Amino acid sequence: MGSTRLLLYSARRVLLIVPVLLVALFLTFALTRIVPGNPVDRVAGPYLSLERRAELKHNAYLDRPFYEQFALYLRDLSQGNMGTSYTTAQDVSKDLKQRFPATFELVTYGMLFAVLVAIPLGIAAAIKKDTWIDSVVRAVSVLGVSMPIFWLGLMLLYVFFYFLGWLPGPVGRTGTAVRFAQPITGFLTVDSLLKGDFELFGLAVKALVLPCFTLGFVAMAPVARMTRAVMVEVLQSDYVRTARSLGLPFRVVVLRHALKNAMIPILTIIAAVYGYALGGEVLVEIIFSWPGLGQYSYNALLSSDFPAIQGFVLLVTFVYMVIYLVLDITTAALDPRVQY
Amino acid sequence: MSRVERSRQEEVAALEAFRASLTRRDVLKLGAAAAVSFSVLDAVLAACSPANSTTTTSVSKTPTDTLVVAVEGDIDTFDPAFTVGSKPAQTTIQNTFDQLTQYRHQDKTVAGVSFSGVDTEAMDGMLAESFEVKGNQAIFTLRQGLTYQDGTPITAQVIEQGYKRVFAAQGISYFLLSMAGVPDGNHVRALDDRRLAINMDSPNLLLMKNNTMHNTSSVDIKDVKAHATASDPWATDYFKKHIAPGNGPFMLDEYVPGDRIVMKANPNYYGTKPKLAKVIQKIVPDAAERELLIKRGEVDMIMVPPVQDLNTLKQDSGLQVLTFPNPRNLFLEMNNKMAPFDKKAVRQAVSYAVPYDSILKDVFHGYAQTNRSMVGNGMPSSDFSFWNYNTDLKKAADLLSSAGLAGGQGAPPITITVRADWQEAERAAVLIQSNLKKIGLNVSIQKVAFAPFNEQEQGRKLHMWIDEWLSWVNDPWYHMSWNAASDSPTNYVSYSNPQVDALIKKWTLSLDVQGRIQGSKEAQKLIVDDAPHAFLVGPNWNVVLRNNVKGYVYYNDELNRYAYMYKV
Repeated sequence: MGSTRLLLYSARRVLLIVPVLLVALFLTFALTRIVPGNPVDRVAGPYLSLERRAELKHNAYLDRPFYEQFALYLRDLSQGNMGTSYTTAQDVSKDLKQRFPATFELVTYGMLFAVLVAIPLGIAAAIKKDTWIDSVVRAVSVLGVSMPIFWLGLMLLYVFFYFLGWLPGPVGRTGTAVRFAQPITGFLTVDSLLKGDFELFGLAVKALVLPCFTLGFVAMAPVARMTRAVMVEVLQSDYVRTARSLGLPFRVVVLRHALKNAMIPILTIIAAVYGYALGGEVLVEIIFSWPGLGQYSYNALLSSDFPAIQGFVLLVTFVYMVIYLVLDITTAALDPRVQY
Repeated sequence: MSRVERSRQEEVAALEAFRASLTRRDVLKLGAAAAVSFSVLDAVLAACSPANSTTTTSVSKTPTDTLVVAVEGDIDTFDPAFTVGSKPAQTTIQNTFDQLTQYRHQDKTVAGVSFSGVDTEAMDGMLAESFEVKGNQAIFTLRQGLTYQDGTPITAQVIEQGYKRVFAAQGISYFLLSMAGVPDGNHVRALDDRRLAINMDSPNLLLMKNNTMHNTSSVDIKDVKAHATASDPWATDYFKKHIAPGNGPFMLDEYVPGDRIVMKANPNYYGTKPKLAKVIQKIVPDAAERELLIKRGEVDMIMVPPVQDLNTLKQDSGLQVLTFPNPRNLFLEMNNKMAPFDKKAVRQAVSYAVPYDSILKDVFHGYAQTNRSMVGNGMPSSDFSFWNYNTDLKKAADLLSSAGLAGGQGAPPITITVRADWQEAERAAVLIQSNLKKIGLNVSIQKVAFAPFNEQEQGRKLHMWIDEWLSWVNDPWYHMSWNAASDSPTNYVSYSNPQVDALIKKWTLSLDVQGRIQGSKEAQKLIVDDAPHAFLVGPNWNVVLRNNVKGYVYYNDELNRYAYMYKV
């Protein structure tokens, strides 16, 4: 019974992705068309006559009302055609596919770092509430929340690359000397190991350290704060006191009983932060010359490359929706109180 | 020719714009703190570890046969006929394709600075072993045994087809060649295997200059045919992403979108083999990061660093800062069709109000020249003697009154538009704004991203704005044809003076060298008096190299020729 309902709930949620994507697309469409700027002028260069320019715009449907353009875009999209980027001159789907692994690897490791550091920190702060440990954790969280991501990135580069010379500079995924091989998973750290190329693995890891830390440090703060807040509450609850009075070891009480109950809000904040990381990642990519989606979308925005912007929004909205979907389904499955 | 800086800025898409728009709050708080903190940090770290402080002037870390260049952005297209918006793309094409002829190398001095450059009035053969211009025909004789890098022979017939493609597909050179009296592909003809004739409708001096541009590079017709489709007979789509086999000193080795463009020496090159085995153009979008990389010796070369950092970079013993005065104009543009700038007296008033010296010193820190005419420093016939707009607020106010706008009364609201990613333009705009206020004109500054700026400028919708122009072809009539002719597609201020139009018509295609110079002076006098723009300054072209990099030659298109460069 329960599992059928869960299945129905999941199906409903999956179906919900479509209208959300449509709304996101529509908003992107409207906004890019209202703001001045169009992709044709840049590609055409300065010497083309105004008439010829108008002709190019006509051929690209850019002279039609935006709802008509939207309908045309949806028609193409339904056939799996995301259009051709004006800046890279190839299919947007191909662009996204080429750049996604670089971004996904960066964000994944960044988030892994954030979560693996934030949860223990939050727990430690909750257990040692109002001690110096708590103060340090709170200070680190405040720093993480209030520090602009580009600022942190620049400072880290300045110290660890420019001054100390311990880590590679802003030269992308491997530095300048390495040839990119045919990707297997697209994760350089995984591909290099699969191919037994430990030198490449080392380079890839080194290049990941600073951008991942930059992203992770900023993402870590809200997770640590949430973990601390929830754990403080849970540790004061009756069942924890009961468990302790029954003589269960403190470690078991904290990790098995308290943390499990605290996990739902923590997971929610992780999902929210993941979304933030996907956005904040744009700046990290520019600072670290990372050849991923962030740089791609940034360039697309500056040159009003409509198909590229739409493709990027579509992909990021989709990823975000999937993360929330997984979160909601997990929560529903775990927590009997959740109504669906 | 091109709005060079713009093409740079567009790809650079500098972080500043982003910082300003998305994180304005943070920037305001931390922008100033950043500069202070960096220097404090430097001092603290240096004090902590004196041994480490020497690493800031580190040695080059790249191999001697490899040049690593940090470039600002990705390519727009690999098609020689069409690249217009990306310097890395143009540079790659310039180094993988040779043209029929090129400018002769020359040590020269412009505005008191000596450097290794080119004589834009003298040609040497490149693919052509010799050439001759007789009447309305230029005949090029190709070197013997020329091939593309894949071994395909280059004959005059192949080059003819290459030119025909440029015309048929309306590539950039179509505009340049038709301007020089070569309106279509039928004017280009192979006389035999080695001789190619280009026929002009009327004999002129411009063709040979316009014909040296990278946009005239001939793609092998065999490759065009192999990738042509019914809807795209000239394979323009295919060559956007794929570079055709070239015939230049280098060939493309690897291209990773958004990351790097790598070239290696072409083993089949007919000319002197380049000393560098490899050139890695690494895409680093942020200007501050490019500086860090060259200071650490991770890259060997960067172009157009922020001007305010040049004096600091100069202090670094591991680096050389090269600066090249050139004919570039930085314009304060006024829309000649919009009130109040439709009145000549108002435009002259603005010209008198501009604080030229402050812009030179405080915005460009000396890395610019005074520029007092449409025809700038180092361009033949450049003459600053017609200038009379030394900053004089009294004269500016009087002129404003004479236009019926005494003290700014009755003037419409004025907006200066600047591109959000261009720091120097914004600083200049602030100085201009302050002086215009003193004569009663209230001006607001608007910062917009590249694409909307471009659209509004080309649509003639801007009111007052800052932009710059550097002519690829160092010829006054070429320059004025684009900037001062009333029917020019790039005359964005809509300037129109029938006398200037008549002069452009008379002299652009003339063979009379002295007449062209005299005519140019006449036109410059008229233009300075009409003041369609205020001629702010002439910004230099700046390049930073590691100390062991030699052989940089300045060309007027500002594309790096890696074949002449080497490392010691």
